[in-house]
Amino acid sequence: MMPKFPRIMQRVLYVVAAVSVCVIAISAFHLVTRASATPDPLQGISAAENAPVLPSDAPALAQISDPSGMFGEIMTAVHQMPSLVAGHAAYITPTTHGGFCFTVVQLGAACDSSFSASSEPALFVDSDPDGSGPIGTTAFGVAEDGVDSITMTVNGKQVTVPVQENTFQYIGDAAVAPGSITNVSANFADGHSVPLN
Amino acid sequence: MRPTRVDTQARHVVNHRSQKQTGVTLHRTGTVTAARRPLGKAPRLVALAASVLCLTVLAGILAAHAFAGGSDFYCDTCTLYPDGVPAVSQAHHSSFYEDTAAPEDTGYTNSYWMAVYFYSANQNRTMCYTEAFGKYGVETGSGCTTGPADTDARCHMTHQSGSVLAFCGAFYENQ
Repeated sequence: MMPKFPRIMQRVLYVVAAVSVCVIAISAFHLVTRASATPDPLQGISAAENAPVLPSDAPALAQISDPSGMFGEIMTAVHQMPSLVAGHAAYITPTTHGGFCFTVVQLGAACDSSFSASSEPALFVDSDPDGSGPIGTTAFGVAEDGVDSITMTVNGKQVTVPVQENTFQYIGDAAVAPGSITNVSANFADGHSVPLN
Repeated sequence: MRPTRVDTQARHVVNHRSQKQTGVTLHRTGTVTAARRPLGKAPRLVALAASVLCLTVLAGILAAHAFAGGSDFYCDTCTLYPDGVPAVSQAHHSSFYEDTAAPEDTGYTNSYWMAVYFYSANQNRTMCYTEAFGKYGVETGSGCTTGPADTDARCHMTHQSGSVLAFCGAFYENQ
């Protein structure tokens, strides 16, 4: 015959069970509400939303991951953009911060918040792989749906490049030194522009 | 209690004797005779395989040691200004392969122009350069290398006024 459980212990067990159920219920509620409140980091980048996700063993992942881990890229959701950028493969990776990183192999990467949570409609990067050497600076980036061109000042001259499938590129000649691209703005199809500064 | 000199010598004598006795025993049982026979093909192959395996492991350890890289987080919540004064790494390498900068803005409410690059003081030139306008930061690409030059890693703010608290780090391979 089983020994009789002391009544005090039974009460303690009831209390523990009740508290546990309560904690689990609150956690579940919190998770559900948080998930529904978190915007999609790729919202507003249609080309990325529709782009294929790289398999987990894709060799390209080695060129995308950031060893510092500062940007929190979610490497299980790397989207390959449909077209090359300045001749190189381009990838968009959502991050644990709720934003995304845009990587163009060889040239570089930058990270931003989702466009739905930002007043800037474009992420702009420029890169010069040989610095002061003879190769010029290449500008590239990703723009929100609705942006149809990017305007920038290069060595005092205004240059406008189109946005296609949410990406843009400008390949400068040897005279375009590192850091010489300024006054960048994103131009919407309806005619209004948003400066990136 | 510490043993005396006599004690130690006595122990050596005993050990020597016991080894000698063991040797005699082995000889009598024929073990030594068997060992003198030339090795067969299989044991030779096993010995060869073991040697190759051992050398491979040793080479792997040495290679891993030689190519293991390091990092230099040269700006840890430092203030960056856009006036051309960058944060500069203490370390100099000809094998830097990535430089990263991020604003220390936990709210991620503002976007910043930030640049990362490798600079050779000897050659007085920038080896490669990447800058971006965004909220989370920028990093150099895989095509951004230092070449044979001895460089430092740098980060700074560009194209805007004010200042920003930032975190910058660079990665290198051992040479």
